[in-house]
Parts: sequence; C-alpha cells; structure tokens
Amino acid sequence: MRAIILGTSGLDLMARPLQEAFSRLCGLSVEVAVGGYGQWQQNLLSATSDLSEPPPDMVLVVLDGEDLFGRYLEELPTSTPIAMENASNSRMEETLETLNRGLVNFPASQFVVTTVGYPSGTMLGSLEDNSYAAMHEMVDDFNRGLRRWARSSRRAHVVDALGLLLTYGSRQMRDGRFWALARCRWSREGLSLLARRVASLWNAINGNIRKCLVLDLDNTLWGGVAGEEEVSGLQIGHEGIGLAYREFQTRLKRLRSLGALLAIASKNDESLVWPIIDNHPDMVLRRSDFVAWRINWDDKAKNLQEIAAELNIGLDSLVFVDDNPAERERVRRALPEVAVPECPTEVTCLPEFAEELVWDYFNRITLSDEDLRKTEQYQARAKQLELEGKSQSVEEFLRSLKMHARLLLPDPTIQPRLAQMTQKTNQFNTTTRRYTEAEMARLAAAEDWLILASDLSDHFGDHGIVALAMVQRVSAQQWQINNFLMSCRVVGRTLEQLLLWGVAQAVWERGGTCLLAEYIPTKKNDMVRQLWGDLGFTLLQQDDDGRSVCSLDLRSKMAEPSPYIEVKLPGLTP
Amino acid sequence: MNDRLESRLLETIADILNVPNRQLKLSDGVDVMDEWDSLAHLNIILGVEETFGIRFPPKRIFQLTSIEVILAELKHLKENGRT
Repeated sequence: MRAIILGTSGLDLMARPLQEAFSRLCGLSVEVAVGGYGQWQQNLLSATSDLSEPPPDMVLVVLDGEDLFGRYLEELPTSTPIAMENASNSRMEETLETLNRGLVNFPASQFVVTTVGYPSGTMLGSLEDNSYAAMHEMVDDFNRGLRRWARSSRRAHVVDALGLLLTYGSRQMRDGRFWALARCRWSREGLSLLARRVASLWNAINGNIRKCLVLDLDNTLWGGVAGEEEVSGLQIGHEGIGLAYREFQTRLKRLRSLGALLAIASKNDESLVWPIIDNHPDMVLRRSDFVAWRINWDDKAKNLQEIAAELNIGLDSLVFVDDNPAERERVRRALPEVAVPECPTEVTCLPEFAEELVWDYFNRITLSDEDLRKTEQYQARAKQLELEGKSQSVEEFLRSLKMHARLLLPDPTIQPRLAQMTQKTNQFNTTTRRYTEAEMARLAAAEDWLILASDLSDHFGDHGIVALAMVQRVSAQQWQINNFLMSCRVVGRTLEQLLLWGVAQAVWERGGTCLLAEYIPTKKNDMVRQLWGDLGFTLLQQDDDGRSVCSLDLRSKMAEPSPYIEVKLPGLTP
Repeated sequence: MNDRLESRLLETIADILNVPNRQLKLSDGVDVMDEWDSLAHLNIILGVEETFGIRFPPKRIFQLTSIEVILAELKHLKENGRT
C-alpha cells in the first residue's frame, strides 16, 4: 500500500518507523513518500502533485502545537482575550478548510490527522492557569474541533498524539538533537510510538481485529497457583498485589463487553479452578465471561487449536496471554499465527499491559449491537451444538429451532456491520471481496447494485445480522452475485437458501430474469465450492485455477425460501 | 567479542541502507556511498542508538561519518562500560 506523510515539521525520519509498524501490526508493506518540510497545506491544497500520484491509501498529517500556535506566543502577554479567541477560531477554521480540501483532492485516501500537543517554551508558568493567556485551552479547543471534523467524514480519523505525550512524556517522545539537525520534533521513541498508533488505527479502520483472548490462570489472572495453596492464599483482592490482578481482570471484563471473546487455557484441575472462578468474592471475571476453556494437563498449543476449532475461528484470531515465558515460546513456535505478546514481569504493570492489548490486537472505530452481544452469541451457539448432538434428524432439529429471519436492505445504521462482515468472513464466502464502510455506503446507494442482508433468531437467541448478498446488474436481464457470505455460526441452517430466494425476488421485481454467481477459491472457503450447484445453478464456465461462474434462469426455475425459517420481508421493490 | 560488535553494526547499517551485509566495507560512509545521504545518516544514528542502547551528543553525530569511525566509537564506549 502507499502512504504519504505531511506535517508542520520535518518528517523524513518517520518513514522507516511507519513501515516497521505497518509490517509488524498490519502485515502490510508500505511505500512511503514524505511531503516537504512544513508544506502540509500546499500539499493538501494542490490537486495534482508527486504526492497525489499514484493516489495514496493513507494521508497522514502530523500537526505540532509549536508550529500551529507558535505565532500567538509572540502576541501574549499584550493580547486581549477576544483577540486570543479570534486567533484560536481562525486557526481552527483555516486548518479544517485545508483538511476538507485535502479530502476532495485525495478522494481515494483515508486521512489520519494527529491531535496537537501543548507548545513548549511559553514561559508562562502558573500564568497558564491564572490568566487568559491559556495555551492549554487553545489546544484543547483545537483538538475538540479536530475530533468533530473526524466524525464528519468516514475517511477522516484522528490519532491522539497528545494522549501519547501524556502517557509517555515529552522527555521521552521529543529529542532536541533531531529538531536541531533535521527539524524533526520527535525522538526515535516518539516516532515509533506514533507509528504504532497509526498502524493500530489502520487495523481498526479495516476491521483487522483479533477475536479471542485466551488467558492462563495462575499468576496471570490471580497471584499463586490454584491447588498449591489454600484459596485464601491466592492473591486477588483489594489489597496489595491482589489489587493489580483485580484491576487487570476489570480491564479484561471491559474488553469482553466491547466485543472481544475471552477463553481459558490453563494447566490445572477443573475441580480446583471452578470454585475460585465461580465463588471467590474478589474475582471480577466469572464463568459467564468466558466462551471456551481447556483446563487440563495437555500441551497448550493443542489446547489453543481445540479452542479455535470449538469457536470455529482461525488461529489468526487468537491472542494468547501467559505469565510463563516457556509456555509463550512453545505456542509461538508451534502456532505462529497466534499472537503471543510479551507479558510484563512485574505484576503491577498488568493493568497497563491490558490497555496495550487493545491497541495491538483489539482496536476498533465502530461498535455495533452485534459486537456488544458477541459473548452471548457464542454461548448460545455452544448450547445449540450441545442440542445438535441429541437431535434425532436434521429436519427435526431445524424445525425445533423455530428460526425466523428478517431480510434487510442496507440502511446506514447496519452498513458498518455489513462492511465488517465482508472483512471478517472467510469460510462461507464465495468471492472474499472486502469492503470498507465508505465503499459499502456507496454501493448501497447505487442504482445498479442490490444489497440484501439477513438476520436470524432462534430458540436460543438472536444471532444478529449473519448473511449478506451483494448483487450487481450486468445487463438488462442479468444480475451477478458478486458477494455471498454468511457467518460460520449459522451454517447448516438453510439460511443461504432463504437469502438466495430474497435476492431472486428482488431481482425479478427489477426486471431481471437471470442470476449469475461466481466462486473464487481461497485456502479457507472450500465449504462453498459446490454452493451454487447445490442451490440449483448451472455451471457456465470453470477455470484451471478453480474459479467458476454459474447461472440460474429465473424464468424456468425460481428460487425457493427455506421451509424451516419464518421470514419477514422489507419492501423489496425499488 | 569485538567481531560480534562489528557484525551487529554491519547488520544494522545494511538493514537501514537496504543493501546486502557482505557488500559493506569499513571505509563506507557519508561521502562514499550513494545510499548514505544525510537522511540515511540520521536513520543510521537512530538505528545504532537503538541497537546498542546508547545516545550520541549532537556534535558527535556529524563526526561519525563512516562505519570505521562508528565501530571505533562503539569499542571505546564498550571499554568504558557504556554499552
């Protein structure tokens, strides 16, 4: 991918750290071009330049407080409050205007803009808090305006450089030598931290987020080894070291409520562990917070594989946290797709470590109702699987579920979920095309596209929106199904049959008489290789690499809904 | 011991200049190699500081103009227990 870095100071030294961060956190190789020193406005206001061709995927704008507000430092102390406020407002307007022109001149790019830090060298001391000469307020207002601007466009995002400065400190993030020698306001550490946040944001924008955090128990969630000491000897509580574990658990519980799944992989006896998790008064995490567990004496790598299989997610969706370096190394070697971060050796650093996990693996820019119910959805599925084991026949089982579904048009409120589905679904996905929210919005409004989604509820609960079809008119009579995907947890329910029926109805109402459908093979989607054939399509062509195109003539063979799912339709006519 | 120092240094510089390790000579430096321009020089300083956990004062940065000189500096710092 391609990125350009623009800013108020010298940013040539940012190129390498950015490439390293994107490679490490996003698995992407980035070609970087840097704008001229202090030329960010000219760069954004010019529609064609070396920087805009080829169009970059990302425009990173690094703004510094000293550069934006430096001029006003000269005007203190003789300035008046009104003049200061006017100066602040006009700076904001000017900046937003430039950024908005930038959005127009770089129509294919995501914009990432840093918040601004408090300028150094004001020499105001406590006057900062005791007179109208409040640079802090000016900067806070500016950053507030920047965040408001970012909310106004799907392509605009903010990275909190000021937040980083607060966490790590100016002393660590700035280096006077590089300012003097290269007009760069950041130290090596500063550049690297900023780059990491940008890469983390990029993952969030693209829905590249891990799904499940697998946790060890002893000396990870509590101090001590269950079984080797009395329960009262374990450290979880409101005092001392136990407090650190408790705070760690509290953050993890929050993480789970934001859509991450929690699982346990611990070398222990279940009979010793559950009484602690279920009954210890100071435990924050309880059994209901976890969706899967392997508590036994087996190899942890094997346990992780089983957890992934049980949850029907890839190993590359897991993050493994264990205080034991030998276990961590074992899993890293055996399962390179699993993320295994280094854990702090000091227990009191665990709470901060939890926050770093969000940046590195679980960052997001949207939160849907589905996300909020992730744990419950997986638990419902587990119950269902249990029932499946006891069922007499598939038909009886399907009937017993009492399923109902709603077919949905791509309303703006569900577009984020639909985009997310295209990014995260790998197995039941006929073509694996990925879309961002902005792209989904565009296609939802397009005359020649039909986007239809379906949710699903059953006996056990509401699964949320779980299936999506994206269909494009390719000629007066023919519509092509460019994307057909479904969440793994509802495979085998005949929902695909229902969705196809909905698509066929909608296409027919728009004057279409023929459906085309593609299959593009990947390592993960073999389960849908025969989908179109199974749904009644005829094979038109098959390539050597496994790609195929099929067709369904709606005049001779209309699709049928599913006999097991009660359906509610939106108005399907355009 | 010093061989390790040299090989770590060469590895760091080769990575930053994006050239194969074995292509580097001790006499390579700012005026000698095309790839080693002023931006690369600062990146190399940053890289060496990171790899060896040290910090050069600003005046020194522009004196460390070749691999030979940087290596001598590292050996000197090592002897004085600074790295």
